Amino acid sequence: MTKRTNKLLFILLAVCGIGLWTISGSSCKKDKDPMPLATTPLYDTLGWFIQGATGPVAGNGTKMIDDPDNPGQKIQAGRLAIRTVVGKSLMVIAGDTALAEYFPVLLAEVGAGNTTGYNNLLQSFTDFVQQAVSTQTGVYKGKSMRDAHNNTTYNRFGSAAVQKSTAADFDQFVGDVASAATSLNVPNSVIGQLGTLLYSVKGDIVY
Amino acid sequence: MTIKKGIKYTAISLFSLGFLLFATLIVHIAVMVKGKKPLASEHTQLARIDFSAAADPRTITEIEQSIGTLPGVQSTYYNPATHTLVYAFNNKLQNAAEVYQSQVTSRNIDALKYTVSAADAAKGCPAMDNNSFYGRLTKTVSSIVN
Repeated sequence: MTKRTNKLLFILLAVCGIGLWTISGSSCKKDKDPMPLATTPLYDTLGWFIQGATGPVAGNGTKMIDDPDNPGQKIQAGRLAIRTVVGKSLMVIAGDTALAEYFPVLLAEVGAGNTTGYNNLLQSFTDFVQQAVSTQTGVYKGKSMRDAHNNTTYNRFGSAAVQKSTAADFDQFVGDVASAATSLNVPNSVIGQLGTLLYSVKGDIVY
Repeated sequence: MTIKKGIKYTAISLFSLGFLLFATLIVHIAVMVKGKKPLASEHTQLARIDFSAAADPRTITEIEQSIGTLPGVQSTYYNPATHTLVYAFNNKLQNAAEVYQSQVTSRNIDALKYTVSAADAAKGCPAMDNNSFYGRLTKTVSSIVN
């Protein structure tokens, strides 16, 4: 190896080393002392409800409780309530022949590994609703609702022939979520607020 | 500096920059996924049995109850309007083909095990796309650091 090659190699490694050190030490560092989590009366109510609906409501949305589906892990009570409703909603949707075409992944394995489409959708949908209900930021990392529900901007949705969702299908979807919440004995007042929330994005999905 | 040298240094610079950016991406992913706990319901899978409209409701109820007692089955849901039975199960402990075989075929009832076509599987809910380059890279890095 010539002296010049050695010099080039040294410079290359030095540049890479400094870059990696800088990145790993600063920009990707996880926040060890986060700000208090944002919450809303609806998020607190959901958290309160999933814990048995006793005592004061305030503060129950962000309260960390044991995750019944993940032993040894904690979860925000509000998120657990939302995930429970979303999980039931996905079962109702999977049994709804009018909507199954939009959610084939619910009933199909997703490639290698053991993670299923159901699981991915459960997390993603829960993230979206949690962010909308609690006003916490950075929970949902997917596409915007408008981009996500149009075949021209997202080719996994619909087809060239049917590019967007119909209003009737959207109503059916909200109806399925409401049925799921009802079957879990969620109070009507809370279901109404969840419905309002879902309808707030209707304009981005049906247009 | 000759043109040849200029090209050489430009190529080295571009390669270094590309390598640095890629390494940055890998480190970023590794830092973010390190220690990440498994997702809830990681092995949960849904399956559906579509009954004909003429199927006896009592037999369907029987089947639903029987499926509910199978090992690994977590919950069941029957939609009488569409005659569909959905059940959630742990795919480490149970599989849909066996459930259909043992619960439906043996009873000689008119029903179909719903299977997703390849064309449909390529579509789906837009909130997720784990088959992207970033998604696959994240999965790979996560399996290395965890």
